[in-house]
Amino acid sequence: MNNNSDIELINGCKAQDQLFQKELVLRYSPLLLTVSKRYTDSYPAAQDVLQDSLVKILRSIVDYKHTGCFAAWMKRIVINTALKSKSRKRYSFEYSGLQNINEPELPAEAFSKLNAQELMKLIDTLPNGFREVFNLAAIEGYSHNEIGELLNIAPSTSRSQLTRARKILQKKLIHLEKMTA
Amino acid sequence: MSTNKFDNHARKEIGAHETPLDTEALWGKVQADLYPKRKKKFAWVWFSASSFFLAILLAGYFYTNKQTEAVKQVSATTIQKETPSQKSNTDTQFTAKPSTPNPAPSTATEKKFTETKKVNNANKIEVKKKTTNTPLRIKQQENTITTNDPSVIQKSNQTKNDTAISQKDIIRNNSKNTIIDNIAKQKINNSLTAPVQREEVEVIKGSAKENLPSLEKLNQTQEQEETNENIIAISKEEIEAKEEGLIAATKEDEKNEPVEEPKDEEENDNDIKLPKKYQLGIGTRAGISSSITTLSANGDANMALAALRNQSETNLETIDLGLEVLLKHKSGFYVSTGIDYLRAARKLEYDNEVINTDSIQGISAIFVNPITTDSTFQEGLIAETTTMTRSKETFNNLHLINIPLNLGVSLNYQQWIFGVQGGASINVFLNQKGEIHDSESTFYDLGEDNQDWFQNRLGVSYQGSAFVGYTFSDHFEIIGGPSFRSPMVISEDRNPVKQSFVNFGLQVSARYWFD
Repeated sequence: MNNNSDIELINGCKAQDQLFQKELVLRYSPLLLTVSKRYTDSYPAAQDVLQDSLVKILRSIVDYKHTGCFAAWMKRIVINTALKSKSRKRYSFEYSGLQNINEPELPAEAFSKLNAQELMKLIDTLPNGFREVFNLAAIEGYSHNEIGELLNIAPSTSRSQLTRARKILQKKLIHLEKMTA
Repeated sequence: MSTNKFDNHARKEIGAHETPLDTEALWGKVQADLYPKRKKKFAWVWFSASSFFLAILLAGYFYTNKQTEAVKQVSATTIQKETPSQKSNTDTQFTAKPSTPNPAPSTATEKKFTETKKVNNANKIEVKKKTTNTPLRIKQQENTITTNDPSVIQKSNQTKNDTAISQKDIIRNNSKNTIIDNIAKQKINNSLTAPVQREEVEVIKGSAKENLPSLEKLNQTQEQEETNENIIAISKEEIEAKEEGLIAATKEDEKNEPVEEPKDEEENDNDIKLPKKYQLGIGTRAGISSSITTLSANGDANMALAALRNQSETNLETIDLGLEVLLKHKSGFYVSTGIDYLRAARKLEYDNEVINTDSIQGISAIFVNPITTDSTFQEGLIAETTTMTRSKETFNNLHLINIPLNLGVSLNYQQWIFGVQGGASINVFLNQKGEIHDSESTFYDLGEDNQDWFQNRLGVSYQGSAFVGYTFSDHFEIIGGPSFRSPMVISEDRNPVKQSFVNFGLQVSARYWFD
């Protein structure tokens, strides 16, 4: 693999040079597959999403303005592709009654010992909607407004789902802590 | 523990995590999506055109081969049947070469002739006459006068060698001796035998008296010599008269002869078909090629549009039909011009999914009383997502008229023709139809060309081709081979995407050459 910088890589891809396009795929696909996996139900589905995302990235790279992190730009495309690919029912109503629930306290030591794969397995146990909101808010750092736009839900719904997701994770971590103790 | 620490830990662990996978295989799939393979339709068109051209060449080859075999069979039959007449021809040929050493006779015919000739040679003494201005044919015959008179013999001996040399020269120089000449000579020889024999008797009588040793005898001898001269003169006049009559008769025979007979040397010179310096020809031409189109962004701002067009448009085959007029030099070089119609085709295929989100009135919330389990509905705006898939398939055709000027050379080997040609064309834009992208979701009508993106006058392009062909007759030939046309820019500078194309193809021409 060549050690081209991201800027060279981007410019090469903008010029539709297949060598640069291949390098981009080889360099970033493992990272993007991790993102794809968090928003899909299975590994094959994640691979399909990744393939579609890479095609979109290489086609729309001419529009990339070199503002912000390139990896974050690509991750956003993967997330959008994954979310759009899902033919699932969207939540069209809000749990406005849950807005004022306090954020649950997560166990101290249990999660700090977890590595990435164990964390991902734990997050995968969340229901679909909760998992998406948790991933977008906690891992990607999206605001509730952005999550609302992405998932086509109200920001308050996003907020409440995040709260519920944390609550579920709290229970699981406490259970895990007891098991390890 | 605070949620922030949990999020940070999760972000740190998961955010940078990489999942291993077969990246090479993934690139293969992505590449296939980005650059779909050309459809095989074009390959089939090429295959069909090549097969057609090959079939024509093979048909021509076998047709000509068959004809050649038929001609050979007929020739063999003719030779067998004409054996008796060959005998007389052989005699004639020998008569035309009296001073050439006779080869050993190989056939009965030749043997018989040789014997006859020896006898004649024994009785004949050739006398050279003034023949400077006499035609060759007559000159040969006039040389053949037979006598036994010693004085005549003495005179004739003096000129015998000259005569032989003269005859040799005639034979050597008269390489285009004709059958009619030979026939005439034979007839003259045969007819001359009788008068010369009569003359011979008279000469013998005169020479007997010559032996008397007296003045009277001398006078008589002188008288006799004068008489002899008179006799010879008379004989000559008779011979000339006979010759004229025979020549006239021979010419009549010529007319009746069914065989194509060569004429006199002078006439032959007029009949020899020399290649003409220039030859005019007309032809038709058909070609099929691949228009390899290049789309490049006119500035960085238009890169997205160029990329979009590259993704959505594909090349199809280009056809061209032409008429040509040719002027060929005998050396094989030729110039040609004419008129040429060209149609370049492309296909636009567009598939897109558009997702629209609207807010409509509906149940925005449901409240459930945990004690009574009663539900309360709250109306409000809810989101409605509409997914719209758009697909489009359009054939874009560009029509041109070209006026080519080509310089070429063709070389003939038996019935086959090999050559190359090249030149320039004035390209005149006719029109184009179809649609292209002018943004991701809108299209530009090529027929209307409201923004004058495409040229009305295209300028000049260059073309070249190599060909192999077959000559079916003296006038008609079919040739074909690969062709190339230089890049032709069809877009104006104001067009956000610069568009040009080159052609690689195959063309077939049928040409007719006038005399």
